Amino acid sequence: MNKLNRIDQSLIEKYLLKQLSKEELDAFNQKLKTDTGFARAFKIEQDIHQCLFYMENQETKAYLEKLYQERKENGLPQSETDNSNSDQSNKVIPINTKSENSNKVNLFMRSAAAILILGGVFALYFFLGNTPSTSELFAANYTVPQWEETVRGNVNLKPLKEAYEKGDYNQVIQLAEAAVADISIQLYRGISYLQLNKTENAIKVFEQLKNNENYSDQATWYLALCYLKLGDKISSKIHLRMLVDGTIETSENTKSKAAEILKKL
Amino acid sequence: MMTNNIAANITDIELVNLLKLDSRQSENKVLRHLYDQYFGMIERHVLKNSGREEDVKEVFHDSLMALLNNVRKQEFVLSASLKTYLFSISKRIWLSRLRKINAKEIPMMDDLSWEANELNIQDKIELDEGQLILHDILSKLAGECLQLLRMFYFLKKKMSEIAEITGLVNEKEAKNRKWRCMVKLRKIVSEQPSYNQYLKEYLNDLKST
Repeated sequence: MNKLNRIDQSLIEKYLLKQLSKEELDAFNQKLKTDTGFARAFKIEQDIHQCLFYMENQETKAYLEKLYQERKENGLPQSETDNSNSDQSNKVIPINTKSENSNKVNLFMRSAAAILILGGVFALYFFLGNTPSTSELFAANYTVPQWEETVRGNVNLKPLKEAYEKGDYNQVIQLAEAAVADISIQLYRGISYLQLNKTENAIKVFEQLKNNENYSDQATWYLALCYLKLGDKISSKIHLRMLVDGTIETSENTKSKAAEILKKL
Repeated sequence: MMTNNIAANITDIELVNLLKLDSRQSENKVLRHLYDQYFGMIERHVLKNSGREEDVKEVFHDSLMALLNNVRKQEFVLSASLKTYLFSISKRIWLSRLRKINAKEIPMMDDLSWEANELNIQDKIELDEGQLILHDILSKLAGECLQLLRMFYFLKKKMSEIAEITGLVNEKEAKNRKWRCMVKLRKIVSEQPSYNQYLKEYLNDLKST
């Protein structure tokens, strides 16, 4: 375990809060170079600091996204003020308005850009060899898991099981949400979101499930796949590594599948 | 749906003071108010200057984030109206994006009228691979520890303030609580092989520079 004395802790805090004088800062940087233990401890603190800011910002961003969606659904509020430079004062402009001409130009430019991008992707694929894309890796490794009977054999799960086996994923989600305290069925809720291409919702479910020791390995595996689907290589790699290096205990089969995907990423 | 009970005639100073409170709820109310008041203004500017709808959202959200990050600094003083402040940040962000996509022929309808260094737009916070692992760990940390670290590092509250808010006896007790949280967190972190590998690589790079 990394030990840090209180004096060094205090020094690192002052650095992160930008409270060091120039002389103290010079001494701090020198200590980083000569004292490996201190450098290690500092890096952990600095990363924690960065994460805290990130977490705060993520919460705020999620709220802003919510406001944006509400605005799209509900239209403009009455209190909208005007930019004094605008010549459209007092005109209510729906959020999706564009002029016809700019629509046509944008459509052309977007089509041209799409063609160029697609052409580039194909060229890269053929000229650089067969490096699979994240979506290909997802498709190759994702299968819908079969329903597993729980030890409890709860008869109330019958409608949910039937809906799942029938492929009625909306129904699965509805039933599972009504019984959100029942951890044993939440995996199927996550899978159902994935089947419905609601990957971000799936991620939320698997993130919660990851905290349960009975489901942490499956949740981690599906999180890795979800991130592959979203094209987020780094997040996928992180979860795959947890399976491979034993951070999350799993079967040898899952471990070797995770290792195979990691090689290709 | 959250109701916004901010008065229509609230002043900018009052809005900034609400943002400075340690309260997600008051922050959300202010953000909703600013959204209602100024989204349209930013939308018109961006669309008039070769932007698309998706650009409007990103620019406006980045502007609000920049405003929040600046307000949280203890030395922040609002020297113009929030409308001017937000509009200037948005113009700067949009101009910066246009330059990145090399849109040389695109005329700007408005000149930047704000001194660039007053706006102090912070870079977006991104996490590297190791920090993402840590983020995962932090998300599972007990609420009390996370709250304390948040107050100290993010809100930059003094230990005496933290003691008062959390109901601890005194400043010394708050310091001890923070110390224990950090010991706990370092222990959890040190048991993560992925993060340890990342640290090892970081320290090796540090030695070689």
